[in-house]
Amino acid sequence: MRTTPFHPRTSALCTSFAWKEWAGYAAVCNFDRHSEREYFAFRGTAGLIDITPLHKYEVTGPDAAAFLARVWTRDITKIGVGRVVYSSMCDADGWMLDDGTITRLGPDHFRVTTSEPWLSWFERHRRGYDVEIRDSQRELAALALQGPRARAVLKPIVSFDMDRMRFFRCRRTQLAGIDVWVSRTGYTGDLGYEIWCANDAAPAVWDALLGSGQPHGIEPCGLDALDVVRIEAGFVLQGCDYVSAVSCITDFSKSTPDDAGLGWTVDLDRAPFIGQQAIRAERARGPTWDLVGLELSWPELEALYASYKLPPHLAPCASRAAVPVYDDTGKQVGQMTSSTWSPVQKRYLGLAQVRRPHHVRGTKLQVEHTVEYERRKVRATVVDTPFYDPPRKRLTPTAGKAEASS
Amino acid sequence: MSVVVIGGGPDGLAAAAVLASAGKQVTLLAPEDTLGHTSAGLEFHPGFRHTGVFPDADNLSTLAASALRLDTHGLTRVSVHDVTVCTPGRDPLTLGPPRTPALVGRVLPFLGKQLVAPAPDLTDGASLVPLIGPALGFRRLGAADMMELLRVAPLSVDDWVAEWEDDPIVASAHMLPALRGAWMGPRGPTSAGLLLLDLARRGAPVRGGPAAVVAALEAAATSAGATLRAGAGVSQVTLDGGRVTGVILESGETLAATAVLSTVGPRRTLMDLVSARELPPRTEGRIRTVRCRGSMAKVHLALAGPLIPTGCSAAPERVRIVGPPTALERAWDDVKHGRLPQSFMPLDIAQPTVADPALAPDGQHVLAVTVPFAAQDIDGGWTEDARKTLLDGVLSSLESVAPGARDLVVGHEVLTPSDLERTFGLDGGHLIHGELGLDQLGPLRPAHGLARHRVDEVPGLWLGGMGCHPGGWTGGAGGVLAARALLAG
Repeated sequence: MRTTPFHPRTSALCTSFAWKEWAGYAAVCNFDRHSEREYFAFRGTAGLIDITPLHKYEVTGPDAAAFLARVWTRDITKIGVGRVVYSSMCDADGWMLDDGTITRLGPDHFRVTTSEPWLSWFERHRRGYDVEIRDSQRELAALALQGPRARAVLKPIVSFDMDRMRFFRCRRTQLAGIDVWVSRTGYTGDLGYEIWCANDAAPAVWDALLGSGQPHGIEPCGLDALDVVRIEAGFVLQGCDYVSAVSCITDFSKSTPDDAGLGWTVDLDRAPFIGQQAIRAERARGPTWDLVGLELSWPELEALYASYKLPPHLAPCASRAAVPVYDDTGKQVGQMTSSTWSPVQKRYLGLAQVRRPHHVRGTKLQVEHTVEYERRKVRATVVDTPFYDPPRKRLTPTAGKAEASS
Repeated sequence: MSVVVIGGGPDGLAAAAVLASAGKQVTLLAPEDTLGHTSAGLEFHPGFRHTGVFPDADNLSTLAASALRLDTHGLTRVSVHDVTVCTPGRDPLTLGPPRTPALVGRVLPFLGKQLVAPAPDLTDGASLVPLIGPALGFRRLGAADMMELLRVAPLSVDDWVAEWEDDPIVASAHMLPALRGAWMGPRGPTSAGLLLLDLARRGAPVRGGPAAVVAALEAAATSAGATLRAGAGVSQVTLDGGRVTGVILESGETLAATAVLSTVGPRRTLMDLVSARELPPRTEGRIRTVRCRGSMAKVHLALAGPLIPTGCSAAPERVRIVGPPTALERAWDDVKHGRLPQSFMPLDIAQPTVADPALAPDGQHVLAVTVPFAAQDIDGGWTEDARKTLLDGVLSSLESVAPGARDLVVGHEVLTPSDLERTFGLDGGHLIHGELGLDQLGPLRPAHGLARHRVDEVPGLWLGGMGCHPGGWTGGAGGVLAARALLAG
């Protein structure tokens, strides 16, 4: 397993020795024995997490935009320089392969992030496009700084006026005198930024951020805390809430963008892109599934445990164990693929893929819950995501509310 | 409904004739100035003409001939050509019919039927009804012949021919046609199946060779009302919303059409003529892996006098110069490894001037030499030196059975696979647009999902020609079947 350029810093702080593999790299699960402190940094102050293991690609050349528009479901040709978009990527049958972000760094330069490696997929579909694709996973270090105090942490050390940076924008600037890209993006559903720099500059960037963040209560964070906040934010995780078609043995376990709740990332009526015909046909038929938020009934959960003479017992962190979801007649209509207790919301939340029409907001469903090795059911309601969506996520101080953009 | 047919070879002409006869408004576009593509008879040396780069017209499909009544358009057949088999140090002999087991006589009609019928559709959700006919035909062979066919087809032609032919030279002469267009030597598995197919395709040769087939088809297409345009190369098939709208010519001219039927090779059509940005990825994935590596060269020689191998009393019309099967396999090895021929070169030769002296000046002759084993990509590429070496190998082989042959040569044309690719736009320099192999035949030719000539994901685009079912060497059958598929919907 590889270590990231931040490893000298993160390993010195990781008193729990809790690491896991992420895209070939050792990544911290939590620095303490439990992720609670890190979770409250994300939600209350600022959390700093090493996201170097993300798969990153530099796509350059005169046809870079047209090529990416062919491979991704969003019309990348419409994105201005300095903008970031979130998109889905499908195979020819319209099944989800992955989701990720595409950042336009220059007229002919894009940076793509994905959860799985796709270089050969990109190479296979570049015929007819004047474009170069480079895997930059190992040459770029990346940190996410997320939380209500994130802007205050960055402001004193970044050359660009952070009050002017809008949501889902990216720019090249300097951080403590070091060349970096800063994008206003993240996986926590709150105000947050991601910082991209050369490998050798990584420790200095880490030190500058921790130094500047000290008065604001910054904390280094690991993946366990991130998993809780991303569910609160309603973000799906490839491999968990939906599975990339290349990893599926049967079509049953594959998802289309509509099945995965990502239909909004599809710009359907434009030049041909991979999956377009299949998605168009699916929409004509009507999609089968949707990905929805579920809120489990706490009183019912308490009552369930009480019937076993137990206090309610929940996993200490987010759960990725898929459990069946039933309609009120007891027929299985889907599966809840991620769930967590939300400490700030005081709600028990889950993301679930359910057959339509059970996706309609307000639908009463039941979720399997095991108590004392016995499989029982708890009532759950289909609710809107994101579960947690503070206005500051999108607001830009100098732009005013009207100019906030997605 | 206006249809554009791309390609001026026998398949394009046959398709145009079938479509025009059915009342369609047909425009055929051929890139060369002469119709016929590789089947056109051309002057290759001042005063000397060949009857087509395409090796022969022995397998003209009965389908094209009868569907278009080519006999009324000047097509005549000759009785089977005598093939003279030569090998150094031995008297030539006339190749008799193969002494194949009785099985062959019983299965050829079954195989022949498959070659004039549409390929069965094996895609998901396809009706099984069209499979009933072939399945019953197969069953009717009886248990013994079914099992024998299943035993023989996957064999190597070397192993199978050895079962019924003791003379290695005669064996080689019989094997040679089976290996044309396949990416294998005589020891290649399934090559016995290819020989069976070749036997099933064989018919009476056409008088005048491929050029005569072209002339008859051209007459048929013209009289049916098709517009035939030579010197009109197509640079792009245009789509709108995924549907074919017409073509753009190399001259820049655009031509609207409700359907386009291309006979210039399925891979070339989909990968070069349709924009990569518009080709649906599933179709791209299917066509991308079609194997198309040319393994044959053609050499045309202008001779001051006839080629008469030692021991022959007169100039033969067809000559095969072969060694034992091992020598064929060695020649194949050179192709496989991308080498120039290292040793004795087997040759398949036609001397068309024997039947038609008008192809050359008085008393002089034309030799159309097919080099069955010549690689498309040789180490270092087909440089002028490499082409000279190839020509020299051809002349040495001729010399080995007809001393003095080298001195007869007054002019030559060497067409390596790379020349064929450049001159005729053949993908990979492959004369029949796709290797013959059990994985690229029938419902798998050119590729799974494309064998019914229709490109499902590109409405309005149809594939015909030798890269499609029923495969190459048939002269027009692929065009007829494609045109019929188009007419049927």
